[in-house]
Amino acid sequence: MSNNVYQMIARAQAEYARCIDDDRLEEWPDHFHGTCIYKITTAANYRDGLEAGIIFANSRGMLTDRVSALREANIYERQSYRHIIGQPSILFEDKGEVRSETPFLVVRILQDGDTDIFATGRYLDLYKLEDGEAKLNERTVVCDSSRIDTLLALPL
Amino acid sequence: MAFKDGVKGKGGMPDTFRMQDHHPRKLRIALLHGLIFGSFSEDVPPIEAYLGEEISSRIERVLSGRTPAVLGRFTQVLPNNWKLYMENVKDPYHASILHLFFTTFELNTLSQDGAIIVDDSGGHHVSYSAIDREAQKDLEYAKQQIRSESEYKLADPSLLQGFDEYHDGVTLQIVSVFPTFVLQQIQNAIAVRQIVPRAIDKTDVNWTYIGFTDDTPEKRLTRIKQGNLVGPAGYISMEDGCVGGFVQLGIAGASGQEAVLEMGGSQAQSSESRVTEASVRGFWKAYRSNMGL
Repeated sequence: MSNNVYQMIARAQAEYARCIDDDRLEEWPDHFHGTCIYKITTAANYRDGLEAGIIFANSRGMLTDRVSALREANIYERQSYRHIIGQPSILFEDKGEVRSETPFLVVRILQDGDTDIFATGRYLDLYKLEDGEAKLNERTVVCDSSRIDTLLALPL
Repeated sequence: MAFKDGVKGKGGMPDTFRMQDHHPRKLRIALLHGLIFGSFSEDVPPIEAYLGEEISSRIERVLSGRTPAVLGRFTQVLPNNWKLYMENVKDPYHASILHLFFTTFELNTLSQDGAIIVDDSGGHHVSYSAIDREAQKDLEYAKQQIRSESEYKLADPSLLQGFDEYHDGVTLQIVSVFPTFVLQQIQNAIAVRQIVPRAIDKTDVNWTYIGFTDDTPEKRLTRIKQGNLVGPAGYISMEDGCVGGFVQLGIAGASGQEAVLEMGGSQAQSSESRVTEASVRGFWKAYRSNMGL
């Protein structure tokens, strides 16, 4: 594995997290290729091979719709996240495709200032490198816990 | 049992001890179309009698004749008393006020037939809605004349492309069984919700998304995509996760006060209109009777 690939993945991870934490959700789908899979699941479901997700999208359009719904339709308490992302492990690399696993911790900050650990887990990613940039073909967000406090509005 | 006879003839249980006199509390189990119900009560009637014909048939409609397959399990932790969640489940008209996903994206503008069923005990209910075929025809006609004025469109409407599973036009059916069971069919998204009280102001909703063993891969994918509608991040159910907490906050300082609103009258009976709280009143009737209030 080249340092270059590692740096591209690390940079993509950092920009992804910053996009959500800065409330630039409209740019969030840009981190994915047009054909993509984004799924949030739990360690227990993942271990048992259960396919459903808390969120499941198999197109970038579905990611765009998630953001539109959050902005225009859904009712929930205003909140923000702070993603703390660990070092990516590169599991596989071939012909511009990279599989990686990256641990994360997401803290949720509610309107009254309450700050709680909302989710921990790992990103199981398939990146495709194009024009010196890493974009996601697949992101499976595997949360360590099966319990989601109140609701999951913003993407992880 | 460890050390029952003591060690080297010393200690242990007395001679009068009989293993068969001691056991964990026995759970009565009943199976119904792949669902397992349990009760610690020996007095509760058999499940069919407990549910009654109308409620049983609505569970049968969703599950019977097929083998359910679990697609995923998630727990949503609610910051409110379990009864506030059950009230929400049983309130058949809040959806169009609280859940704006369908209206915002103009996904469900058809006027819909529907009704609620409340069983004699009041504790169980069914709320359902079906596509009004006449209204659908009108809409199809109108579509040819005018373009929709909606500002918002789904970029990928395949989210809602489903298949006709029950051939009765019913696109939404919510069944609740007293006290804490819910079976949901929202289009092809089928789920069991088990409501578990954790504290006075804390409740777990255990979601089990299901399909069936004979689903084709296409049908399975459809269910998984429509799963976006429900659960902790559901387009039409994430709000149910927070609204009980809002109510809990609102009533925190008013424990000595009361307000009674009688949407749909004061009875707790089945009704062709869903603009009623008959099913909520029924729940409280059953709760009070069971709690000896």
